[in-house]
Order: sequence, then C-alpha cells, then structure tokens
Amino acid sequence: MELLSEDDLNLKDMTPEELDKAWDLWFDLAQTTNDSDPPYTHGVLVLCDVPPPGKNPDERDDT
Amino acid sequence: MHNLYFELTQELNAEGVIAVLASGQAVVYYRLSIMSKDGDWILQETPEACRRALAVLERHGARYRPSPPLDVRWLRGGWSSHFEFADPEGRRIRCDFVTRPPRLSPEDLSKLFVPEREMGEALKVVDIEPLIRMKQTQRAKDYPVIGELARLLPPEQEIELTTDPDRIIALASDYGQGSRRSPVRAVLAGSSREAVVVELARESDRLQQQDRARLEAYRVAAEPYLREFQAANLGLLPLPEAHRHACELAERWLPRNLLIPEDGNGAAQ
Repeated sequence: MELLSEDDLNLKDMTPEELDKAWDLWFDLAQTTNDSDPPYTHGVLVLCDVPPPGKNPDERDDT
Repeated sequence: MHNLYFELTQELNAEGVIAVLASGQAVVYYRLSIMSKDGDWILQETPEACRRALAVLERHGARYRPSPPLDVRWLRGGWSSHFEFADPEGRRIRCDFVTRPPRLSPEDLSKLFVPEREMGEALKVVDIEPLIRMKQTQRAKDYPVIGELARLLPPEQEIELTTDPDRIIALASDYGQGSRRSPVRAVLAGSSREAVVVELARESDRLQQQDRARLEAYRVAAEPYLREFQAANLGLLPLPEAHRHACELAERWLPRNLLIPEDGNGAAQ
C-alpha cells in the first residue's frame, strides 16, 4: 500500500476530472486559512502594511 | 467543479488571447503541485486587454484589492493589479494581473501573444522556462517547485535552471560543459556534493535577495497611493467606479515607471 502525503499526490496520472476534484477539495479546505494568509503572494506586488487612512507616515506605529 | 482559475482563463480569452495563466495555477496545470489559492495572469499590455479583463471581473462581481489600477500606464512600469470576488460557493477568488512579470525578457513576453500561439491550445498557460523565472521569488518554498518544473525541460535547459543538486550532478558531464552556473562548474571541477549544494544555496539566496529588493522598492513607492486608495474605500465600490477613481489617484500618487535594473535575464523589474 502506498502511503502518500498531500504533497505527494500523483497528479500526473489523474484524469482531468480527478485533477479538478482534487483541486476543488483542496481549495475548499484552503478557505479555512483565508484570514491568516500572508499578504504577499508569488512574484507580483501585493502590498501590505498599509498605514491607516489619514495617518501621516511619520506617525506610524511600527511596533 | 472545474478549477475556476482555468475557467477564468478561458473566459478572459473568449474574444482572442489576452491573458496567459501563470504562477501557482500554472503549476497545477503542469500537474506538479496544488499550492496556490490565487490566480495570476500575464496580461497583454494593451488598453483593450485591460478593458476586457475588467469586464470579465465585473461580471463576477469583483472588487479591487489595494493595488494599482489595471491600466497600461502603470502596468508597463512593472506594477500589478489585484482583485477579489466570491465564487458561487462563497469561496474567495483572487485574481492578479501583470504585464511585465519579473525576470522575463521582452523576448519572452513577445512570444506569449503571437497569433500562432493562439491556435490549437485549449488553455493559455505560460511555458515552463518563463514560469521558472517567475518562480525565482523571495520565497524559499518556490525553489523545490522550480526543481520539479525543470525536470519537464530538455536536459540542456534543465541543467541551467534546476535547483536539485542530484540532477546537476547527473547532467553536468553531458550537458554542462558550456554552463556558467557555479553549481555546474563545481561538479565539473570535481568538487564534493556538499560543495554543489552550497553553490546552489548561494544562488537561491541571491535570487531571493534580488526579488526582495525589487519588491521593497515598489512597496515604498506605492505607500502614498495606497493610503489614498484605502481612505477612499475603493475596495468597496463597484468595479467601474473603483477603477475610475483608482486611475485618478494613481495619476497623483503613483509613479508610472519603477522598472529597475536587475542582474540576470532580460528587462526584469
């Protein structure tokens, strides 16, 4: 019996339908971490740590 | 249900190819790993492509995330635009667009939207080599994926991009003679496996530091604009209205061109 972790799913041998199902299930589960996702995603710019509206940058609390 | 990001790619390209799926969902497409909750596209750098992409996003009820407007005036400076909506099951869908992805040369980009490419392919997905270059980010977790992606390339290309020391050791004598990569040179010089691993680690660290410096320049330059974006609550407005306001704010607060020189390939940011 093959013991596979989530990272070892054999995606290559799946049919397109199986791949869709695997992705769909993973995506469902991944929603639970939406609130704690890091603001940075891959190589494009997702800006984070935006100062509150109206606050002068010099007054920012970086602690 | 199908991968919504694949479906969105088809929808974006319904009237002609304007968007090529990249990054994490491209890795899913190549069946290597399921690792990204967002969709990332390289968009054709034309006002028409921006208009069509905004129309698709509007149909899905998308809102702007704090980011530059989807407009060629800023996209051509290396900025990216970000959107979010909920799918019919209430799941969070995030869509990111860029026209000048980091580390891709003008030649790489010019190949994406040639007419020949538009024929025959069911789904428009970035090729493996440019995908690898896009994955050379500041995040450590991207580097094992690069090793897996590189295995899909012919060996003479794989040896130039892989992050797997065992593959470099296996390929060096047959395919590495002309290589300038230090891990490959280490193998050919008869160095130990440990020395090859160290050279690979140095190389990855250098790439991570370059990416970090690039993004920091953008982060700093975007701060005044983003402050205004947040103050105007553009993320709550319907997309056409938000886009109009975002362009107005960007004209005042966002530098158009921030492309900075980078070592390595092409006109990266």
